[in-house]
Order: sequence, then C-alpha cells, then structure tokens
Amino acid sequence: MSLRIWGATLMAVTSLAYAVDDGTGLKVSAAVDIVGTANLSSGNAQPTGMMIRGGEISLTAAADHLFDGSLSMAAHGNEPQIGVELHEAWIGSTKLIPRSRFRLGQFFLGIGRLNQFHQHDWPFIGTPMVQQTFFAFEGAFDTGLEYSYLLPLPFFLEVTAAITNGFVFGHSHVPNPPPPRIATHYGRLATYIGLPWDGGSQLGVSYVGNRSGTDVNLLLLGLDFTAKWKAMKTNLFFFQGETWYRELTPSGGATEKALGFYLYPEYLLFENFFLGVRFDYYSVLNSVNAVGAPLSNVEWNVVPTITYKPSEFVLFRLAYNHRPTTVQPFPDRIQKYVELQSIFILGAHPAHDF
Amino acid sequence: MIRFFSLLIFALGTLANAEPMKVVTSTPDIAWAMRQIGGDKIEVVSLLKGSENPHFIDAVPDYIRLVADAKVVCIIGMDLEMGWMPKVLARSGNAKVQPGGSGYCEASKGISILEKPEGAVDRSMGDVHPSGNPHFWASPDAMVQSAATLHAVLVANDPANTAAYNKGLETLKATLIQVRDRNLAKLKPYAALLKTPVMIEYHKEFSYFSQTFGVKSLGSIEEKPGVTPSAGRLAEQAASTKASGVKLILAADTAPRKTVSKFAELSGLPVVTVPLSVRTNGKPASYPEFVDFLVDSIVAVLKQGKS
Repeated sequence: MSLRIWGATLMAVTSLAYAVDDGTGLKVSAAVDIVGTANLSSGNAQPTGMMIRGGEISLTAAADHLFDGSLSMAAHGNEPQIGVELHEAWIGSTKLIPRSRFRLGQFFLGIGRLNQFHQHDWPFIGTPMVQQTFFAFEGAFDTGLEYSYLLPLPFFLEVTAAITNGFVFGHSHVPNPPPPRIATHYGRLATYIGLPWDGGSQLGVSYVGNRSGTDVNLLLLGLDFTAKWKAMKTNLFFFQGETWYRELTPSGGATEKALGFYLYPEYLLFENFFLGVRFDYYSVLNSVNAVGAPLSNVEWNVVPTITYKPSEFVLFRLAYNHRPTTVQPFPDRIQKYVELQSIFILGAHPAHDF
Repeated sequence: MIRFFSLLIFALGTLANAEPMKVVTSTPDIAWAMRQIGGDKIEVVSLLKGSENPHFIDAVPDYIRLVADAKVVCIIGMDLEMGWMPKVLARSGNAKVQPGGSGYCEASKGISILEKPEGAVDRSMGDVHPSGNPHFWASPDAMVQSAATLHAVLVANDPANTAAYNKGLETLKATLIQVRDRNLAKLKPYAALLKTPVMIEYHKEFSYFSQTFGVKSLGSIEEKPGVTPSAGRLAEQAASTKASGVKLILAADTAPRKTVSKFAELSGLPVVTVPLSVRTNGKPASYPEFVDFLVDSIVAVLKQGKS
C-alpha cells in the first residue's frame, strides 16, 4: 500500500480522534517505533540505517453493552517501500459467558509471551531468532476465533483454545496461498505464581498445530515464563523467557526438528534507566548433509541493552548484538551490530496485562 | 422422597444465602470501610496491600482470579487505577463487576472533588488526573461522603441484608466523625501555626486531608505530577519553601527517597514519611490508626516548632 493510502488512513483516524469525547468511549492511540542499525561487521543481514519500523494506530471501544471491538493498523518501513497492513480487527466479549472472554476476527495469536504483545510493547529492540523463525518478525496473526476460560480454582489457571484460517502461518504475504488441509489450532495454559519479596511470575505452555495447503505438518510446543519485582513506579527486576520446539513434516518427507529460546533479565540501574541482556539461541536439531551425516546448526545472539524510559509513553534503547553462527556447510561467522530505538505513544494506550 | 429432596434443596439454598457476599476493593482503605458497613455479611479482599503506589500496578493474574469470583468490586475511581484495573475487570469475564454492571462501584462518586483541572489537559503537564485529585481517602470527611456509594452497591447486590448494611453505614459514619474530631482536637493547640502553610508535599496526595484538618500545604515538590523534579527545581523550590516558614515535608512512603532527602537537605526541613494507605499486613492496620498516625506525625513536628 502506498504512503498516500497510509496518509489518508492517518487523516481518517485523526478525524476519528476528534470524536473521542462524543460519549462513545472510543480510545485512539498511535505508537511509533523508530529503529536505527549500525553494522560493525560485514555481511550482516540488516543494512546500516534508520527506519520507521512501525507506526501503528489502534482504536478500541465497547461496541455495545456486551461486545468490544478493536482495530489496529500498522505501517512499516521507509518510502518508497512503506507497507501498511491490518494487524488486528476483532469483536469480542468479556461479558457474555461467565469467567470467559473470546474474540472473533483477526488478531495476534494468543500463544507464548511475545506474540501477545505488539512490537512497540516488547522489552527489547530486535526479534529473538526463535520468534522470527517460527512466527515472523512481529509475531503470528491470523483470522479466527479464540476463547479463554478462567478455571474456578483457588489459584489462577486460564485455558485458551482457538482455531484460525491457517492459509499462512506467521506474518506471510504470500498471494493466494492454497487452503490448509488442517486449519491452525492452538491452545495455551497459563498460571500465576507469587514470588518472595512481593514478586510475581506467570508461566505458560502453548501448543500450535496445522497442516498447510502444501501438505506440511506443523507442530509447535512452547514454554514461556515472566517474572517481575516492582518497586513503586518501575520494575526493579524483570525476567522474560520463552522456549519453543518445532517439528515441520512435509508429506512423505523427513521431519525437521528445531529448538530455540531467549532469556531476558533486566535490572533497574537507577531512576528511568534499565540494563538488560538478551540471550538468544536457535538450532535445527537434526540438520544433516546429503549423505545423512549430522551438521552443526547453532546460532546465538547476546544483546546487552540499555533502556531509558522517562514515562510509560516514551522510551529510548541502545543495544549491541553479538551474533555467532555455526551453520554447516557454510563457514562460521559473527554478526556484530548496534541498534538504537525510540518509541513514543500518543493518545490513550490501553492498560497492559501482567 | 419428594419431601426429602425439597428439604435438601431448601437447606442448600439457606446455606448458600448464609455465605457472605464476596467483595473486592482496589485499596485497603475502601476494604476497611466496606467491612464496617458489611460486617459478617460480606467477605472483603483488597487487591493492593497498601504499600504500593496505586497509579503504577500491573494487571496481576491473581487479581483477575479474585475479581472473577466477586459479586461486588469497588475501586477509588477518578482514573487512579486506569493503568491496570480495566484489564483486570475485562479479563475476569465477570460482567456484573465491569463498568455498568450492578456490582461495579467507584468510591469517589459523591465526594466533593478537589483540584479538577480547568481547560484542556495533556501529557506535557505530567500525570494530571482530568477528573480531579483522586487521593481523597486520607480525609475522614471525604470517606463519609463516599460511604453512601459503598452502602448503595452492597444493598443493590444483597437487598436481603439491607438492615444490616444500614446499621453498618451509621457505625462507619460515627467512627469516621470520631476519628476526625479527635484528631482535630490534637491540632487545636497549634491553631496559630496552622494559619499559614506548615507543610509541603512531595506529590499532591494530602489535599483532602489538608482541607479536613486545616493543615495548609504550600504545594508539592514535584513541578508536574508523576514527574521526578529536576535538580534545578529542587533547589529553587527548597529556597522558596524555606523562606515561606513551612515546618515540614510530608511525603508518602511511595515517594522517591533520594529526591525527598535531597530536598530536605536543601531546605533544612524535617521529612515526615507516612503511609499512603491502610496496610493489609502491618501497620496501620485500620483506617483510624492510619489517620491517627498522619496527624500524630505532623503534631510531633509542630510541637518542636512551638516549644
């Protein structure tokens, strides 16, 4: 989509913003994510330069006394390659069925941790390798129905189940993909565990499956864990990590097994400044050569990150990426690059989950 | 046999009715007030422990679970909990306690609001609450005003116990008036000192308290609400505060300690650090204890100034 269309969309939404006080409760927000990269080694995947990684506009409101609606659109990249896409457009309810919520439409799949947050709400700049490989650089979204139920137990246990189209998986822009043999279906079980010194943590397990139109069977299993110790306004210590295991089985072919994880501990250095380090790992576990001999296939990325966050609506981040790769039969290499990020949010940003 | 089952159903129904109604509040102060009104007819849980800054909380999953089981949820309102409570309410899947539901209540409804900004508000002004200052609960007078809202939501959701709630409401009001009057009496000997501002706050959290007890405040150390003041602001404000004859700095224990200490050093004024709320575990364990502590802490400093 051209910049002109994006501009028109922006104008339309801006006009809507003027209608916010009309008593409908419409909340309009815009989030802009600017990322600059400086390569310190040659042959890196991303070019040196700065770009508008995302400019997202969101509208949320109660559609009536029972249903809520949400619409978000994002533009990515710089002119002339700028592209606009629909991120989320769904209707749902938290009032219709006791202890339940559901949504119908297009949304980021309710699996794992990162996938449930828009990129401007992530705690670091880059996309972890496992997220990028299994889901896409912003996460996987699709169109379907998702239902969550909070079990009536003396502790928090929420189960989510969903079915979505599955024409594509992840963030693909493949034109006219063949219909899937088995639609994408997924589930997640999440619980909360209190921690000493007023800390809290959330643990989730996820499952995703589908069989594509090209007859490739997908199985994904994930484990996510988030912990926080908060002091007044900010997190004193924050941890987020996810592990995902994937099996891709083409019809009549051998299964490719891959495993990846990231771990991100972050510490409050002093007021508004945070220091974190992300450890990324990704490996195709059963990579073999033409005669079936095993090949090394391991990628790492160590990303120390400094965040300056003067408020919940503005932040600046600086990160160094040290990314060694051993993917035989290719020669080993190390990508090194620095990233700078700025995010600002205008308007009424909705409240966040834990 | 039919008679047996009828009796069983009746007995189970009676047991179910005898169970106290589940009430969830955002803060312990509202939980305390609810307990005074509801007595043993309700079971009250506060989501916050009282040691947190209620502006900056996450939608903790355990809160969602508690809200899912509640028949009544009462929050302070006036956007105080806007960063987390809407998510907790929505994710609970409990329609009754979501805005517009019969079990949803905002304790600030009915109070005489202070510091409602005039004209347009934007984020360049800091964390301004467009509906006015929400920190009303340190004033027994404002708590009396909010009691009617708490009482109304209990009656609406459990009309069978209206008589008990009516009685509880009167007890609550009497207790609050007693708390106010005994603390006003403590401040009476300092009437001359209290004619001019005797304190400066870190954040405008004690405006309602100040109005009720006549303890005038010069203003706040913060230039913009929710924004830590710069070194320049601290120095400037410290100099003008010193010159004004203010006796003390009143700061909630959620205020940034280093900044408050720096201001104390620059102004030469004593810091009175007080809790912002009743605590669910620890002191002050009740609302009267909370207000007593606030007033006693101020009186302790005024006493030194008088002698």
